[in-house]
Amino acid sequence: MLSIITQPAANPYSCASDEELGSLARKGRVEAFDELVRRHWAGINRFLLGYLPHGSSEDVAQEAFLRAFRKIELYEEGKPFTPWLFTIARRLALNAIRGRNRRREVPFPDRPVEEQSPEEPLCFGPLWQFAKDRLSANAYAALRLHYAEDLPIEEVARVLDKNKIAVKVMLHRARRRLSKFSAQLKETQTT
Amino acid sequence: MKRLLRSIGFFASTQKEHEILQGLRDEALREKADDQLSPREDERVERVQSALRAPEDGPTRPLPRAKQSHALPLWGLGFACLLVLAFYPKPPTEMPSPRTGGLTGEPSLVASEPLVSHVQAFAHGIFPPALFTIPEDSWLTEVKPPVIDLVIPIRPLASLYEELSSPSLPSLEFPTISDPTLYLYREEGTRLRNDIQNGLAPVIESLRIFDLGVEG
Repeated sequence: MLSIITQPAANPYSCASDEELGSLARKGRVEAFDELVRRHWAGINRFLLGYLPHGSSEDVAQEAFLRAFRKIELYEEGKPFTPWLFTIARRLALNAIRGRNRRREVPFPDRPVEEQSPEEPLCFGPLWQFAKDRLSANAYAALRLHYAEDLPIEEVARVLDKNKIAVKVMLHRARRRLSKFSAQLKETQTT
Repeated sequence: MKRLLRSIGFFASTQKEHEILQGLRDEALREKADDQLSPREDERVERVQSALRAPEDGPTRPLPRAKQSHALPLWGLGFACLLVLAFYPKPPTEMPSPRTGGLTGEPSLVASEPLVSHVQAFAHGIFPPALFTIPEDSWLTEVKPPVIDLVIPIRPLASLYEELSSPSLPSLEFPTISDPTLYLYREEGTRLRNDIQNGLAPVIESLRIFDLGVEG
């Protein structure tokens, strides 16, 4: 009910699959790509939070969508759209990290070290917050893609530019690492 | 078996992992539900959607080549100088060597004129425009390696440069021992033989007249 109140009139593209929307976007339908942005904005942003701080992740997420829209002709019709989008996002995140390392940003004394967006951060579950803080960027990304975005292992491997076995090992280690801290996780869940 | 595994903690760890994974999935679903209801996310999405409709930023795109100066690029001048230095001493009518003849024999899509005529043109300060045409904008976005050859004769010039920079080895010839060397070795051997003979000759002579005085 609340979703009907908050959202505008029914979107004709809301029932289409990601692949159908990608095909329509290839033909120049910007509204179809708008629907893709609406669906995947938060997922992309949360995925990028494993690599970048909050403010940068939003910038990179926006750049990822813009890049995907401008290069939509490179999307192969019929292939899954989400892995393609996440691959673009990940590569932009790595470029951003390399750019930050090269520039070696030195903050002014009166500014905080970490970037702080004036807006509220994304809603993050405690388990995911714990995983983001404790796991490596790639391990968190693999967990996010497989368990939150429901991508199969093959697609996760393609996004992360690794083979399937490496992804399975990464997921296994991430699960074991999280289970070791299960006591702490239960504390974070109760708080 | 299960009891044994449970006693060593195997099932406990897998059960913990299972609980954690289930928790992760539940949280992911809750996050998506919250995103649907959140006006904050709508605002951010609208911002991105409006950015899609904005014209592309100028600075992020590379400058189109058509707006650049049509003056000869520096690398073209350098290459022209190299070619002039390589071919200038030779008379213009002289054909290239058989090794480099393959260059003119190569099927080139650039022009039907031989390379020597291009070099002559460079030597006289004439730069055929066909070799230095500025590529179109589409070259930047759709670079295809075979197309580059149509604009700039990279391959024949590169192979020519390679040929000039790596001179061929002279034909192998085994060195012959000259007569004076043999003569020296022979003389030395003769001297040694004479010394030995001269040194031992008196000993040999003395052995003949040496009477041991052994009577049987």
